[in-house]
Amino acid sequence: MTDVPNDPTEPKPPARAPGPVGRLLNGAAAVTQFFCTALMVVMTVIISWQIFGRFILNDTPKWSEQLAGVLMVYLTLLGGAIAVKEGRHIALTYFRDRFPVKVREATWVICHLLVLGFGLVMLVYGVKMAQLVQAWTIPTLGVSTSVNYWPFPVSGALIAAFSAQALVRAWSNTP
Amino acid sequence: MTLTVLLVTFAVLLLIGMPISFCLALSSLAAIFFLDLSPLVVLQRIFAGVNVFALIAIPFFIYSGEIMLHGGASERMVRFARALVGHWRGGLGQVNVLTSLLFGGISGSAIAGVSAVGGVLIPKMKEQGYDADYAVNVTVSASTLGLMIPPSHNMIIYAIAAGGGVSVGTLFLGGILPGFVTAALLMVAAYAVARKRGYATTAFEGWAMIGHSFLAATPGLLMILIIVGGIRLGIFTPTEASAIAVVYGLAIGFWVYRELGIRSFWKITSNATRTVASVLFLIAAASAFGWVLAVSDAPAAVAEFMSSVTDNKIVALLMINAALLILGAVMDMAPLIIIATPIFLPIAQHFGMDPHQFGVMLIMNLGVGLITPPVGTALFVGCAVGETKMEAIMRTIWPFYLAHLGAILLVTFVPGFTLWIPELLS
Repeated sequence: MTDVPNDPTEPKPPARAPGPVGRLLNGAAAVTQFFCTALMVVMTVIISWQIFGRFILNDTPKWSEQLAGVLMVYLTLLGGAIAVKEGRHIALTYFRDRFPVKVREATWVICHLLVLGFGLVMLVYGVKMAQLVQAWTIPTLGVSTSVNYWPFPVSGALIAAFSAQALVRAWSNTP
Repeated sequence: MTLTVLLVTFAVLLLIGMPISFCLALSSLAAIFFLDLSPLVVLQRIFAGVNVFALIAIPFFIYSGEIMLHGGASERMVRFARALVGHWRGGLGQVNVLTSLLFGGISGSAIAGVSAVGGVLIPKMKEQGYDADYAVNVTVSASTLGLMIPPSHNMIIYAIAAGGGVSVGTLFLGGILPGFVTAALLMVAAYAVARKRGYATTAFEGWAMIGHSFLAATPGLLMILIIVGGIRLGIFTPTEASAIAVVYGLAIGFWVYRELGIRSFWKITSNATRTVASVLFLIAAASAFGWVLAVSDAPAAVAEFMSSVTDNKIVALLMINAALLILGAVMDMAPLIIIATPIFLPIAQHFGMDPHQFGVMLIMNLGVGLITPPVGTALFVGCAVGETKMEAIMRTIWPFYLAHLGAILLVTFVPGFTLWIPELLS
């Protein structure tokens, strides 16, 4: 599903080079993608270590599943934000493509605004959630339960920023 | 009333082209506001939806599929399939179906199947005088075979959605025969169309070629055996098996086929991560949506509606199939498995259907959705690879749809198709 081409109805980004904010966001996306790829490798190592521990050392590590599970949440939320940036989340465009151009553009803007809004909800309530569980500890890992929820505000901030970036680009492109 | 808010918001957002994952998340948020609950609930459900240990198998199976795809396994399977059935009527069409069956199992993804198998075979088919629509028809309709052949990550999603009582090992084995039956029916369709259009046949390449190409394809095929065998014999859990698949795939790509390097490894991993994140993000959003459905008693409402329409098993099961086909056409697979399972599984069980059989049926139906507009992801990719218009494909794809529907009906009404192999090997 990553192979679906970008929606051709989306406004083309302007030809001019990205400004400082644009460069910062592109950099943030690249760093996040690098982090996600590294997470995938780390998860593979963790579960391989678990298998090695169980079969060879006769001692199954107790932390491995828990840690891989938390890392998967990071991968999901941060990777989901990258997909917003790259326009890779699958949508049903069949009907929208048949709308008149003005309506199509309006729905495009509405969708981006709503995604931006959801990003902000993730940011605000993600921080709240992390604070709520700050005092608890994940027993097998010995760290605060709040690590479970930190990817929410980070992903939310990225999602909001990337949507805003798309909106600004579309705006500055229209004469 | 909550249900109305949820579904109307969802439908409107879907219609205006909002990405499906955000349709699910935003409509859940709207329903939560309506229920006067904190948005914290949505985040909690999203977290709980992905922080499931059994789900870790999904990134790994997607990852190992990507490794096999670029590590040299796919070309070797095309070669083997070609030696085996290339001389039949509609030769490369048959090769296409057989390759999808073999390779699809490893990749487990219809979309990856279309780009992998179609990328190699569609240009070759056009070159040899096959019409583009035929090439795309065969490719996309065969691409869903991988959903039935183990290891299929969608089956794992189903096992999680169905809760206790469903074993991944049984589910994996249960999908094998339906996969082969569907492949056989697709081959019949490919044969019939090829005959009608008068496509030429090519000469048999000989047994030596079959043996030779089989040996070359063995390391890839062996992976399926290791995973299914290992899970079935209880040597390792599905999650461990999926990690083994990754390590095994890397070992083959680096040292046996020697087509991987450190650069391509990083690129493959990065690609796999993108797919993984999209799928998991959908699952996360779907679990929030599913939670709202559950608290607003949707499963009971659907069950009540169905029992008011019919108490006939055949009619009820046909209705479930029809509902799944329609839902599959407008929505993506992973979230639908999570949403539809708690609604339809109890009804099917009420009529005496085994949950493993239901799972295979569910996945076959939703698989057809992947090759049906408006959200036919595999279909769109196939059209892009074949450089054809979707309208042209839709005019001539019906024999292949018939093959799929025939297989779905067999699985729905003959429990043995799903349950025979697992029982044989228990």
